[in-house]
Amino acid sequence: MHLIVPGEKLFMEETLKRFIAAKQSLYDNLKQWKKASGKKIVGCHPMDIPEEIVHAAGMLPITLMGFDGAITHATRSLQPTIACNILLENLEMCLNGTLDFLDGVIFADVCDTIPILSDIWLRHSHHVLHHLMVMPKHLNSPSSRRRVSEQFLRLKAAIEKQNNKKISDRALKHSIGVYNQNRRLLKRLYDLRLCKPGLLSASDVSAVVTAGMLMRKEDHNQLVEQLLLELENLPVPTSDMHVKLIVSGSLCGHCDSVLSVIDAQGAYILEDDLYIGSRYFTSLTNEDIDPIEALAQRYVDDIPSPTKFFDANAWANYISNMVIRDKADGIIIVMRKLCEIHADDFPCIQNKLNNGGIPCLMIEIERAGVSEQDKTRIQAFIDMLGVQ
Amino acid sequence: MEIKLPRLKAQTIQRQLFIDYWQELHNAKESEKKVAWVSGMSPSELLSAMDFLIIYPMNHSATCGAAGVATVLCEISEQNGYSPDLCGYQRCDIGSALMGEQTLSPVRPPRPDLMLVTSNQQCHQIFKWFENISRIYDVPLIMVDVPFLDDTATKDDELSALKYVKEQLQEFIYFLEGFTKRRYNYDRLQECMAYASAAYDLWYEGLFNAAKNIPSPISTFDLFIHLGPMLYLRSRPEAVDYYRNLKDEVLERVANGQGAVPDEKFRLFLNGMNWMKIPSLAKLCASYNACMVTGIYPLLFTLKGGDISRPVETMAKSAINSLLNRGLQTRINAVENLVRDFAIDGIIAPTIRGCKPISSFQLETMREVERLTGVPNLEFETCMVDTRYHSDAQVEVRIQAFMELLENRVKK
Ligand code: SF4
Ligand code: SF4
Repeated sequence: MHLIVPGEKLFMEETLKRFIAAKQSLYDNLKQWKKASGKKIVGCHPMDIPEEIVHAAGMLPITLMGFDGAITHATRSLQPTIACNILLENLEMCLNGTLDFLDGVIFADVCDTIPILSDIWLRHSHHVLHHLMVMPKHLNSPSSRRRVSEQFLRLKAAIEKQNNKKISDRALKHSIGVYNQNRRLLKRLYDLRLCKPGLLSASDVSAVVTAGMLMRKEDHNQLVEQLLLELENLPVPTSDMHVKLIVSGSLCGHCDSVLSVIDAQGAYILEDDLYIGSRYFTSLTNEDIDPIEALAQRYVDDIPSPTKFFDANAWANYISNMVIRDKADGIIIVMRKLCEIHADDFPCIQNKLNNGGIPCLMIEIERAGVSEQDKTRIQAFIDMLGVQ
Repeated sequence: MEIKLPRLKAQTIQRQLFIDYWQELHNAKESEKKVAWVSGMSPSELLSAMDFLIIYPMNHSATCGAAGVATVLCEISEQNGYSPDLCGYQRCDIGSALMGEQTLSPVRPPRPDLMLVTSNQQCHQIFKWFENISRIYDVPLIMVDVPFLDDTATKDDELSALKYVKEQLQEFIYFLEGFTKRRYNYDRLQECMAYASAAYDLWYEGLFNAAKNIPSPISTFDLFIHLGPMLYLRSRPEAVDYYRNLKDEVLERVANGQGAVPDEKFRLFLNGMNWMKIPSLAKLCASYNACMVTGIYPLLFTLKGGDISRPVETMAKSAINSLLNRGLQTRINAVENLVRDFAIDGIIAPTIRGCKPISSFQLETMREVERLTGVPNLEFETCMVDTRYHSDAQVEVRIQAFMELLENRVKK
């Protein structure tokens, strides 16, 4: 749903359409772009890939975020009762040829199945670059923190080897700058939404972020800037009538089915902690130090993440502070079915929210999106918050 | 048809060893010993050398499974927000911890003073599981991260992984000195490692390798049961005695041509985890004169010894070299070799619900091994301990059909 303020939105609608188009065409646009530009495209399996390194090599990093089509091959390699829908969908695209246009794939071992997915992928594909980053499973010792930069350097070396060309510090710093710019612009968009909730629907915001994961950051920066210009000049009807929410989770992929229920219900999202959302862009990279060190530092100091195993408490605090700071009425946690790293942190988060008296609803999503029953639960949750 | 399988006498000895050990654990407070909960692949010698008593939560869950209380414990953790999609071992153990003093666990593990988790098998759940338990008991948790070496890993990757594990083990030793306020006892460590290494060699020769004989003197059931002392007691001389006895007993069976199942006709391979249904499955197979002679799990689970004069290096190496830590191709090669070495006729390949690190390898490995060796496999879904996700009737039907398939292949 796009919010319509008569007369004034047309301009913005046009810009938004470009994000939505980029998102809908998914990989088709990219094939054309590749043909036209002669550049290489590298698929990054979510999450935690330092895309800047790929970008600095003159290649286009895109996020592999599944697809809607039929799954017929992937279940011969990974059981649907074991692998989440993102793993299956991405593998299917590898097996059915959809991703043949990629020059490389990069994985980080953020969950139990990804390293094995990587090996399965390797057996069935012919990308020139195939790389698994084996990240430390905790960050609480000097050696494990050192390992982060080692793994980033290893990725850099693998890319250099494939391109037969060094990635200079200057190029890497430039890429970090482009990405930081993107992070700042998206942050501005989020700040705007926070001040003027209802300015953009949740689905629209999701389209803006998604598009950025599928196109050149330089192009995305321009588009977001354009959108911001238009939005910043829009008057917004402020209203206290709407229920205000935080949404968290949905690791590795979108949860548009949940967002559209929220939109349709007339609730506003103030801020999110979604993978396709603030988790993707929140932390900036230091532009003044050694670039690999800077990326590693960002990885270590980033917002709390279930992939990095400090402590689920940190994530729980982060989310609950977000709700309190933004004065939201409640939080919806979207959990991808079979995502063990999220499922394992959830009890701690739930406890924290319950103890803080923060209304919380957990919704599990599968391939087909949100179930009818869960739609009703979301509606009831929003209704309940509206009454309070 | 209920078949009684001949038991190894060592099983009785083991029972007594464990009664004594758990007694020691329950007296830990009085005897001023500290208790550490550790994951299966952890170098527990490091702790034994500093007088810690060790508990393995995964083994605890298996014990709860065998005692028939695991499902209820799993339900308790689910009531506390843990997803039923998490691995059964984890849900069971957390359920038990959440119940505190009221736990239904038959052994009632004493609370830990310290927890140590080692991350072989690219398993994230085990880290989270330990993190959750350490939060429940509010005790320190030490994590040793053993990097996964995938199919693209190079010699350099291996070396950097080795260096990283060594660093972490050293960090852990420093931590232990602070925690116990004592200097680390390297002499004791070498002693512990010497016992462990001797126990391993005896286990390997006397049990694991012995199954290559036709008929096999033991079944996977024995293999699993007799891993217990390897886990709990390997830093002690008792383990060495135990495995020496066991070896003698098994070799005597070999000398007498005695098989673990009557008139062994088929030799099976179990490509799966320790599992509550192994005893009944072993019996079921025996009723078809089929013996599950070996499997992947015992290999995943044992730590080979090495140069004990360089303990940290040796422990790091054995962690890195574990099959658990290796990619798909290595796994396929390992299974292929075992299938050939043990003259296997069929593979039983349960997909263990929730256990992604092991189960995600399953389909590709089985398909490829079948292509390479012609040995067929039987896949079905189950859970390690949670009876809600297992159907005896269904498995029986599937096994029966599989046995018919093997029969027909013989006839051809
Ligand atoms: S959603 Fe969870 S289980 Fe699925 S790929 Fe991402 S981290 Fe792994
Ligand atoms: S998921 Fe599997 S490997 Fe990991 S802790 Fe559970 S049983 Fe062990």
